[in-house]
Amino acid sequence: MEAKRRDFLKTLGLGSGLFFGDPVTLFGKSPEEAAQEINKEVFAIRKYETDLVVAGGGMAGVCAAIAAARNGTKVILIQNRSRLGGNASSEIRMHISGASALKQVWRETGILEELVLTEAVENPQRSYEIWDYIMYDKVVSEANITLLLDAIVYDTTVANNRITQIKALCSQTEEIYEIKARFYADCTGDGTMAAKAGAEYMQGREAKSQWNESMAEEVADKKSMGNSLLFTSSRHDRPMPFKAPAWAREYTAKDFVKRPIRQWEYGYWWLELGGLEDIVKDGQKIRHDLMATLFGVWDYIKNSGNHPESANWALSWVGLIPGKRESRRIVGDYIMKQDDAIKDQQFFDRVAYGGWPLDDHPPEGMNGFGLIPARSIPLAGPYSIPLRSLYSKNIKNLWMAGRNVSVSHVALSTTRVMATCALMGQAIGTAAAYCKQRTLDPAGLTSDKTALSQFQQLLLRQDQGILGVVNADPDDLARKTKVSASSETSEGLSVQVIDGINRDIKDGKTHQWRADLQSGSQWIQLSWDKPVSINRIELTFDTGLQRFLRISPEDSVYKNQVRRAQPETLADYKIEGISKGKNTALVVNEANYLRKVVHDFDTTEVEAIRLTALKTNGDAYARIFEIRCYLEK
Amino acid sequence: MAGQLKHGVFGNLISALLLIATSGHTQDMNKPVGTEYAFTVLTEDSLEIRVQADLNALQRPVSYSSLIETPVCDDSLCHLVLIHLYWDLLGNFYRYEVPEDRPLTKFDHEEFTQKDHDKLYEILANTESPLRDYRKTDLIDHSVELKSEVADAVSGATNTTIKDDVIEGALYSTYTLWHIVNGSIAREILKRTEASVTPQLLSHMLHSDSHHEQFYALTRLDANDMTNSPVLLELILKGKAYVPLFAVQKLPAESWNSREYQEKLFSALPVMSFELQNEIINKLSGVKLSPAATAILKDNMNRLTEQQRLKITKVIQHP
Repeated sequence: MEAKRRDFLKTLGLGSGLFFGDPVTLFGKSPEEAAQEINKEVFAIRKYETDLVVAGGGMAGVCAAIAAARNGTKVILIQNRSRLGGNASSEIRMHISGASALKQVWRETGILEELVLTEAVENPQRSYEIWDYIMYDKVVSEANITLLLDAIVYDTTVANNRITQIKALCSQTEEIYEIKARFYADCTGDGTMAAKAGAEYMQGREAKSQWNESMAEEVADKKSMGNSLLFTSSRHDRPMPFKAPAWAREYTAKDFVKRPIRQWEYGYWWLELGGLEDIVKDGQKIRHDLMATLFGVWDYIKNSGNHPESANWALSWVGLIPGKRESRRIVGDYIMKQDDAIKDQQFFDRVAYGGWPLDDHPPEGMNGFGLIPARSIPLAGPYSIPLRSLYSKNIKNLWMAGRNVSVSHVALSTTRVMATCALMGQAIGTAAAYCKQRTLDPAGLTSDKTALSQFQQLLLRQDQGILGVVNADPDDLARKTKVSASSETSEGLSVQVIDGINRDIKDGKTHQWRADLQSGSQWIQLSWDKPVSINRIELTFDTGLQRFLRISPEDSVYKNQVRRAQPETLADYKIEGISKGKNTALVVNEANYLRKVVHDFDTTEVEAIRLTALKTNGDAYARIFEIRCYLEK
Repeated sequence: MAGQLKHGVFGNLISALLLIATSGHTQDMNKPVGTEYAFTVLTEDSLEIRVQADLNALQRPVSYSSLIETPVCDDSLCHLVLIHLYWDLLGNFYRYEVPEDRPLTKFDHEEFTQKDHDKLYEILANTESPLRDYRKTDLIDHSVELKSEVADAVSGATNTTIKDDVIEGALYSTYTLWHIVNGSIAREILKRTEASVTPQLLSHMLHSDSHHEQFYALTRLDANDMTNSPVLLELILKGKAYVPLFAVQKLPAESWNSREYQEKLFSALPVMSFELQNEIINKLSGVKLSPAATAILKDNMNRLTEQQRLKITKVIQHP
């Protein structure tokens, strides 16, 4: 009998050690008593204190976290998926749109540019999972960031109009995080954390009369733009039959009159639904409706007979997470409106910009029989985004970036795209760090003109996309130099590296030093009247901002892209310090592909520095937009 | 007054828009034989516009129209434009007339060319034009004007984003007319029509000349109502643009089983668009084909693609 029981316990994995010493206790008890002894403390409580909590790891959250961390702020980044990037990640696969849509010179700079330049170099195979990894690498490489994946913020504690603590839950690890921070950034897209904290928010579409917006509705309603589900397909060398599930919707040619099928390697523009429902709370239903639509559309492509050229094509990936365009919009000290996008208002507190058209989608989406799927009003140029739209009006320590910022429904139709969201992210991450150092609140920063202008200078120095701000940094020692060069072109005068403008701004000037490298290496030299001590040089290179550069599952998007180091960018160069007729090597760099590069070295006294351009990534000319020199403490 | 208006310029355009002559319901029911006052709107420029309903013999509205004299102003000057505008029952603009002695003009009193008229028609008919969302003050790019050393200060430069959506030299006329055509008048017409939708009105719309009206009716039709089958067949066979693709989905199941319908549809199969052919072939599963219709189908097989032939063979073999 005893032996039998021992075998039984063994199979349970319990028949050893101390426990076996008193096995009777388990078997002698009623089920209720036994249940009481099982440890039900499944969720472990983990307590953290930090400077900034960023909720949401989409493009806005990633850029906010990196910006704050690089400016010396401790950050906890909470993302409810296993991957970073949100709508841009391999789970949803929307390409990152932005001001490149202007077809001018306005591709966004800053952290986003660093990410996409890196992706173009490291991911020539266009693998979406590698793009996820590149974002992961950038985030985990910042020592100041604690990344909590698979975690969702579900509770907030608010006292005196400030969030004092949030709680997040990770189902994978059975952990509850209780996090206290000085600042909180809602980059969730849905504004979940802000709403839970009682931040004032808007949802639905405003009436024309509310803010005099011609694109708004005659009467306000609760509708929104819908969600979209994407798929990819690939061509095979033999016919690939397809049978739709029973629950797929049925489509006929009439359904595509206003939504023509132009390609199918990258989804179908647009499988969009949900705008007539509660875009957040009805999400389970909307997802299934989108699945039924997706397979219905694919069934139509494959089996209607109208697209015989699809015979050898088969689905290769089907999204399960709908990409959202619109949900809550948190009210800030300023609400951006239609006019703010049509004409650049040059807000005094501008910190980012956008340039996507005013691109509103009817809430009916795929159910809108005979409706055009979007109405897109192109803009003449980029427009500024004010900091006042990026923090909550009533919760004093709450920032926002992404689609959940303080904009009207109409303005959202342009601000919602991810490159614009990424710039907002860098703006608030940097702002949180700046405010922490200065013991300011968000509203305090916008009301302190001196601090604000210093903050804008910081953004510009860190390559943030910001309009109409010129380098006036008193710490930049390069501004006081005399510039000379071994050669320069008539449109690329060497003195332009200290003209305060670090990119093409479409004013007819290049704002860069340009020298022909075909006859050999060329140098540019910055000389001071009297010796200075420096330990940092910052460079801004040309990366072809006039082109689009993004991973996308759609082949045509790559037509004008360069999927490697951008040819205009200086690849190999060296910098020497010149003092008392002697040259000292300060920097040697090879195979550079980044736009903004910072070189730190031991403090050195110099009368001049000389940068020698050795090789570009393909272009005939060496090009440098800006050189800055600092003595960092 | 209407007698003084010039029709010639738009004769071709209008006849291109006259879609089909339908059987049964006579074309005459679309012909206005009288008018009555419908409503008055006040535009944003405080212009009072009286709109009249154009009535057919049964005293039912078939379209709306208005003779309008509106001032068109730029930064410094105003002139009067006289124009007769027409809308369909859904408030869609479909034509205009101008008196011979008061032609539309551009900068420096240059008269509109035929090309300008064609473009103006296209612009006014585009309900989604970017003009909808631009204020008058944003039509000119003042930054360009300020920088320019040669340009006339009054003319300035048209904002580049709307350049293709206006008639060159008649920026303000285009803008003013677009807003009259597509503003509160269009909304009021649609409101009046929607308030009076009946099966009879939908049937009337199917017989109309306006593909907007046909489309409107097709999306609201009861798919089991046999009474509209003849006009649906006509729309499948002769409807313009995408109308046949909608009509083919509204033809009741019973009509698909009719020998007459089968024969008419199958005879026309070779001259139909590829998409319409497929829509018809896809509708055949479960349909009982008459021997005569089957013979027509077989005769036309060699003018179809292999994939289409395969589908048809399946239907013929396994009805």
